Amino acid sequence: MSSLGSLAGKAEREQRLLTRLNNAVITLEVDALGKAKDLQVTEQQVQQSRRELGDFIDRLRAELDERQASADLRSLAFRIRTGIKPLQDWQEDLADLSNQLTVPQPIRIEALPILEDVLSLLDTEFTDDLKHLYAR
Amino acid sequence: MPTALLYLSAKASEFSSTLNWLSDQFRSIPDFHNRHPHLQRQVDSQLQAARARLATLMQIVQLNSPALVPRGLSFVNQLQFDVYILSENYLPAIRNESEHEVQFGAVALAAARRCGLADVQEILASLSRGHAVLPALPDCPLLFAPPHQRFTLLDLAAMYHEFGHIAFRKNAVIRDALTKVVADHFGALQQLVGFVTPAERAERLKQINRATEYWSVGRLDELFSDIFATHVVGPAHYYSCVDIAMRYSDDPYRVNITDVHPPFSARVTACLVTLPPEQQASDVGQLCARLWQGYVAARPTNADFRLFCDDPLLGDLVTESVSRLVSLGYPQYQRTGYDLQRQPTANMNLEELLNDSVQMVFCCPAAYPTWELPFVQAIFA
Repeated sequence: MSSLGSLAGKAEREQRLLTRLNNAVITLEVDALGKAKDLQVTEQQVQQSRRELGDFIDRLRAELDERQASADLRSLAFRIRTGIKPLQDWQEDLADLSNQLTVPQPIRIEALPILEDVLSLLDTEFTDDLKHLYAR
Repeated sequence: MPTALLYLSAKASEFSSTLNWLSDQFRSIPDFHNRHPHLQRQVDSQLQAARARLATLMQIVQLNSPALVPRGLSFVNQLQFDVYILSENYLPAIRNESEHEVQFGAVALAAARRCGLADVQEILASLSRGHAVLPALPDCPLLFAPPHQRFTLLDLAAMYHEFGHIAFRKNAVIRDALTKVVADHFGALQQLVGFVTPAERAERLKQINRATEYWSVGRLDELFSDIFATHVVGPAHYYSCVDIAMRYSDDPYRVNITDVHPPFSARVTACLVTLPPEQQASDVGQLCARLWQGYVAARPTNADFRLFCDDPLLGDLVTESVSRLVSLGYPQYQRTGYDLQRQPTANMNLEELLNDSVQMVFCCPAAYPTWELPFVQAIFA
């Protein structure tokens, strides 16, 4: 009785999501640090990254507000709800972040840790699944 | 350079070597393109995606920004997953692929297509371990089965459970729908907590929350795969599930939070409920029900099972799954009878044959090996 199918399937979906979000966050961080030109990051890539992250943050907010049931965000929402930081603080921070992502100017440096906190929770979930795959 | 960035630099170098080695290894497989043209493209695509991840990791090292270290570590883990898929699974399976595995893969591919997995282009088979699937390369899954499976029909129905994982992976709409069923079910239970003391209420809500979280996407995937398999191969998979439960001799009601599989009693119930009434009433359907009732008769259920896996929840999960499967075009197994007089032909329907084989092994166990042999030869010819 194998857990490979469900574990690897979940890890693969998480990997796809993480790759997309990581690339978007790095693009915005490079932009916020004023290094976009040095690294040949275009305005179009910045806007695309903004949209990518904005969509994701809005889906996460809907999940946290229980306005939708998204299987692929459920573990992340669980980690947020059961973490040290109060849910209301998360909701306020994510709402602020969502607003910033809709404004066409470099994201504020202070907002980056919020993005980082969200991604680090996704990283933890993915790493746990990877550990389980290797432990099988 | 901070030590974390030094570490990322070292890992980038390591993955660069590993990806180069993997490219060479796949290139050196004799006749790879002719044997598996689709798989070769998927492997190339996966290697390309891994190289893109590696390029970003190297960029993070060059930026020399401590703020980006966590993103670098994330890419390290993603690259490790690429290595797991390609180096530890696909490469050995392709390198060691035997003639029997080629035959098994062809039979599995035809079955997958009949079951509605139209996107699957090739199946790479590895007859090296128990039934399992690695669905990471979307159109070319790696399907594991035990070495003897090429020589017997018995337990081949377990392969369809693995197909269920492929369907679950492909359909976010199914994942979301089942997640909603769980949320709605336990949400309704929360509303039903009646007039009790505040402490009792808090304890009851805590238990309901535990039950909600128990149904992770992984467990829904496992239960759905049982439902999928029973939907497409009928009573033969119901028997397969009863068989594995009885072999394991585990407590069928044990809610084990460290196991991604739901308790066997929940899985067997889901299989039974998935069958249409006429298939439940068939010889194999009734036989499995008797086998299972006899097996669980002396085994007590428990409070966790009654809350986490109650019949209304399982019924709703089955109803939702079957409804989605039908609307997405995954065909339901139709036959209710058996044909033990059939003759082996090249284009036999494997799903029907598997149901005949279960009927035969219980009806005439001594004659079964002789009966099975020509069918196995014809199927894998």
